[in-house]
Amino acid sequence: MERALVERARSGDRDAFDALIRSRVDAVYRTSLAILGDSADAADATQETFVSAWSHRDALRDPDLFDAWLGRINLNACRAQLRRRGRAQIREIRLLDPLDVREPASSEQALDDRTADADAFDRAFARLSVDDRAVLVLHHLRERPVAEIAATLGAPEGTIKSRLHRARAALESALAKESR
Amino acid sequence: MNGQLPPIDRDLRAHLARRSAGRLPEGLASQVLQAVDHAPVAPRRSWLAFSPRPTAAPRTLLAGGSLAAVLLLVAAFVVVPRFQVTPAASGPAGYPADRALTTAELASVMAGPALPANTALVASVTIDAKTDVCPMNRYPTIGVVEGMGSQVCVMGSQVSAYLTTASVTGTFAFRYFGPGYLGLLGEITPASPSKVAFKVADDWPVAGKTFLVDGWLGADETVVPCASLQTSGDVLSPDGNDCPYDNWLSDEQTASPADFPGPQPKRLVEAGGMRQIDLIDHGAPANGVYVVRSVTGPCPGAPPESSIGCPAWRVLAKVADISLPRATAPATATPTTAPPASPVVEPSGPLAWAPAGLLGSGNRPLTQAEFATLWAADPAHLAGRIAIVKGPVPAGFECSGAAATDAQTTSPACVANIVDGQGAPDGYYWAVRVGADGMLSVVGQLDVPPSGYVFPLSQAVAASHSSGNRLWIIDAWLDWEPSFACDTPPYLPDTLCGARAVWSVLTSEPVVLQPMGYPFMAPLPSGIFALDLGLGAYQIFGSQDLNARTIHGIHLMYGTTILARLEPMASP
Repeated sequence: MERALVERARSGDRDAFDALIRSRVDAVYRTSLAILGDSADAADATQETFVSAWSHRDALRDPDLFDAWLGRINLNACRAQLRRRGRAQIREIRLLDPLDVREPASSEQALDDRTADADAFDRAFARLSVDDRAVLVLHHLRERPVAEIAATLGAPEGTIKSRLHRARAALESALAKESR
Repeated sequence: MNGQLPPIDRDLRAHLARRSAGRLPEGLASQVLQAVDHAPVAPRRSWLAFSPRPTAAPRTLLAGGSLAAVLLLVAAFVVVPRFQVTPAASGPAGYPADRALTTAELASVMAGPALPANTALVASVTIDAKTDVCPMNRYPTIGVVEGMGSQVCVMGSQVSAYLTTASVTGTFAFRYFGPGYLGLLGEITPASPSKVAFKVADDWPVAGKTFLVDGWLGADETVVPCASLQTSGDVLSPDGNDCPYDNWLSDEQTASPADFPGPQPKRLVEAGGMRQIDLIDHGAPANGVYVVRSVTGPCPGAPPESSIGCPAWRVLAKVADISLPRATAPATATPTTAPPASPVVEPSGPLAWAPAGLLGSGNRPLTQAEFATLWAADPAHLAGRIAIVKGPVPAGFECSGAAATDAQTTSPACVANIVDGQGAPDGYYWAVRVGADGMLSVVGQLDVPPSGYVFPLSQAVAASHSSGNRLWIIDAWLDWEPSFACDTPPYLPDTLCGARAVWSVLTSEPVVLQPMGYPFMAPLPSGIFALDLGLGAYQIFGSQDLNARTIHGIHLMYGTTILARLEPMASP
């Protein structure tokens, strides 16, 4: 069923491609958001992913690899988005719960701790390359199979474990720098 | 299959889930569908087909296919041209590893659509030494390129060597600044008469020569502590420091020692600046043709005052892939005729000062008495200013409750407290804006550190001030990158040289940061507080301070935006 849908989309059936969009837009957006950390950038990357996929649908050879193919396009879109962002704006700042007045001391402390922890992680994550971010997201968040991760990253399956290890080490290093 | 991978890390997963949480933006799916409606469909290009695993095919089959493809192409060239009306884009064969762009090809590129700024090109051309035809604030003029359809100026950071003769012919590496403007990286020493780029295993030129290397640029992270901030340097003369990375060039994709054990032919190079300029991250080796210069740098372990230098290889740029617009008519070399110089855009008028805010002496809030005294002495002195006052504010001031900025709301409770003094015990501090009409509006309640009233930078970075819409005060140095938009035509209507900040940060020391692209592309050095860009530097400091950079001050912050520079109260 799914394969047939992909094959129809590949042959130019817009209804089939629209169905694929609807079933995957949430996953693509959330992957983009986890990588980019900014909802507007993630929305742009999501749109660019599907537009590019439709424009280059002829490039998909194996319908069974549609998700990996889409993931690779999405990764490129995220990479492009980061570069565009680099020319246009500054790093993102996450607002957990903007307050105008003081809260009781205990909850304020807890809020500050949570915010500081989240901010430190986000700053550290922003230090990583897009590929490092992607491999961590695809494995630890989306739990994708190793073959799909490898295809998405354009890397041999045998290197994914070391890539995960290296990305994790880079994240730890970045977290250590952020906590100084 | 995933059994070979590390187990899911719950903490990491929680953070990633937090980053990706929230509702899908309303209408996103519809927007995507609409965008797809208007998406162009690329021509069928089966050789780009996605296949993560290489498919083995019999060589005879491949050979047969290749022969058929060649015959098809030949037939197409014979039959199709008379019907072809649309110019097509194509990459010049052999460029840039084997050869440089010709004069005609460079003319075609410069006459075509604008390239991204700082795109690196290599071309064999003649440069006529002229210094007075190309106005540019940032770089002196070396000359103009011969044989271009319209004037193409060559700017450089080091010009003396190229001005000793009327013209110089050779192979040059450039960065594209904009239509009609190139920046000179250097004259290229070719690898051989038949090939311009060296391989990594070749003997590279020395003694200051600039040359091309065809290979993989990679990096290994080190554990060496970083003594200084990473900067890009000038785009025509980038810095080399890339701490904590060791950069290398290799003939092979030696992705990492872990993945590819064993010795690989590679040379350590300096590539920190060009990585920032050309947006090449450290995640994976990047294949390409690189502009490299033999430089002399400090020897490892030598004291700073040592005059003994050691040889090093500095990567200046990555040569970009170029598509040549197909010329509709044969490109002919035409004599360069320099049109009248385009004027450098200057600000159309004086830039307005933004009034500074007021503090009490010793960086403390004004007391009620001080504020009342200031008001009584010279209300005009306070008009439009933000004052930091200790609550409750005395009666006699009408409070409008208006917000200081559109993005901000004022708590009704704050207004009530500051107006009638009830529920605002001694020890609460406020930022208030004095209107020209005598109205007092509440900006908001001030967040203060455990001791004193002003946050040092270290506390600001560590605390949550970057993420909340709170008001707070910081004592720090402000550094920013002025806009260089006026240096590169076409001049935009809103161009004001240096009037806009490309980025702005607060630092604890008066360091000058010169990283192109920083801090937009992480990493963000520790000890740096990144500001929002919505507030251009001149809006606070006025035009006379635009070129000063690294200004020390006491700043009133709203989240990551500077609302005002604060000054101690002047005695009436």
